[in-house]
Amino acid sequence: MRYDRSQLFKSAFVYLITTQSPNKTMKEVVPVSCSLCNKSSISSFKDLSEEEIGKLSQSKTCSFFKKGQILMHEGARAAGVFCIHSGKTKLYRMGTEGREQIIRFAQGGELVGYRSVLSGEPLSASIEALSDTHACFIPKALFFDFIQTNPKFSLEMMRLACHELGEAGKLITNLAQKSVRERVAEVLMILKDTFGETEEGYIDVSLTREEIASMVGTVTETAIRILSEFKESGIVILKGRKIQIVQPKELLRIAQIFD
Amino acid sequence: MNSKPTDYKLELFEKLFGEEAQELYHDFRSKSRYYLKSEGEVLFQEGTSSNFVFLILDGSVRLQVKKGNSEEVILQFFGEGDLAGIMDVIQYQVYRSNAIVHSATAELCVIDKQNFFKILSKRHHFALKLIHQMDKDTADIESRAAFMNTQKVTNRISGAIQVLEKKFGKNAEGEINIEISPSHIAKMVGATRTSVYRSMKKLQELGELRFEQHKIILP
Repeated sequence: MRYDRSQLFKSAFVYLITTQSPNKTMKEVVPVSCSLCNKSSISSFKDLSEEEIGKLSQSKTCSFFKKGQILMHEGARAAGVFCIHSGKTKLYRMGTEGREQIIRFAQGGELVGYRSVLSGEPLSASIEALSDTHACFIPKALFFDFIQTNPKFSLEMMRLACHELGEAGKLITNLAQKSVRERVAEVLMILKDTFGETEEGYIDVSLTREEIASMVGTVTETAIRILSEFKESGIVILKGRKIQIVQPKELLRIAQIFD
Repeated sequence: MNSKPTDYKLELFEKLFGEEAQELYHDFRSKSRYYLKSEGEVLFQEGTSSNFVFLILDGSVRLQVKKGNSEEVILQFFGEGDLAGIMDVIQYQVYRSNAIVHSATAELCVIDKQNFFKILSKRHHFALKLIHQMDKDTADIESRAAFMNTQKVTNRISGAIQVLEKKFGKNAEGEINIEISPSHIAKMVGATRTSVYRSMKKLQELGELRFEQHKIILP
């Protein structure tokens, strides 16, 4: 299928999604063409050819998810993958006693659901919007087409699989070896590295104490107690859900992160 | 280490790789070395240069890490057809864990990084199989992590056993097809051997499993 370049320019500045939220009207900039997407240089599709980008632009469906909405459910079969355009999502799975374990986060430019598509197995985690999120759905068939025909894309998927395997290894090692206090300290540093900081110096993500506990692998009460201890020691500032890291070196020391 | 370069079996490649078996059989015969290793032998060590990938033809290998004075943690087990060391070869310059032969003996092909990438670039189904393997391994580790989100050692053990059953399968008698000691289970779930012994006894009393001579038998 040839990609129609004139069509691209006609539609290049047509914004696909306009959403209303209670506080403001958002004109979300999800361009029709993926080549104009501001995440194109960091997404896993960065090595696709112009023609392949054209196919991607024609086949994708972009959707808006309000905070708390589920993009994909654990146990379901994925009909395709989501490329997150904007917003923040969490991937979690249910453990024993109905407690969730946050596996990782995904934000702008990242792919979710691809593991289920590749393995043909049900989704191993649910994906939920942590903030208002725009995500583009890419059908399974096209995704497989790229893997089968583009070796660079195939290698990129392999790198992604390696990265996630490495992260899962770190997660289980920490759960097995580190104390809850060490894990809370590490999770705070991970959140800061993943989401960055706001202008006021707070970690740029809003998580409940329950969500922090589910990342750490502990009960909410313990997470609250340890965060309060960090606050009393002047290591962090807590303002509602906002967390500011004041003494990163002390947090690294507690987390036993030396590299 | 015994090198027996004539012991590549086409039937095994056919079983493991289906569509590209013939090509991969010839690739591996010409580009890798065959080894027969014994239980406890180390394939690679944490912190050393990641220059080789290990294709397991028979037997099992476990991947474990040790940080400081902490107890070792078993990250995963590899069985027939799995490749150990891919993540480190693709993602890092050094191995991030230790790979140790778990079964009494293990048959392996060892291939260097350059030749591994050469095979990968021309064998599409092989590349896809590796992505599948890593995806499944990641899902297994994450599944264990979800079970470890609890203080109850019995729950952690159940999670670890589910992963072993899924990975190695079980025979007609319900025996999971890998020998494993309570000490290994302790390293999988991050608990002491004593609490693992106690919890496994409790699971036996509840009729959820039997444990006989390093074999887990499920009802």
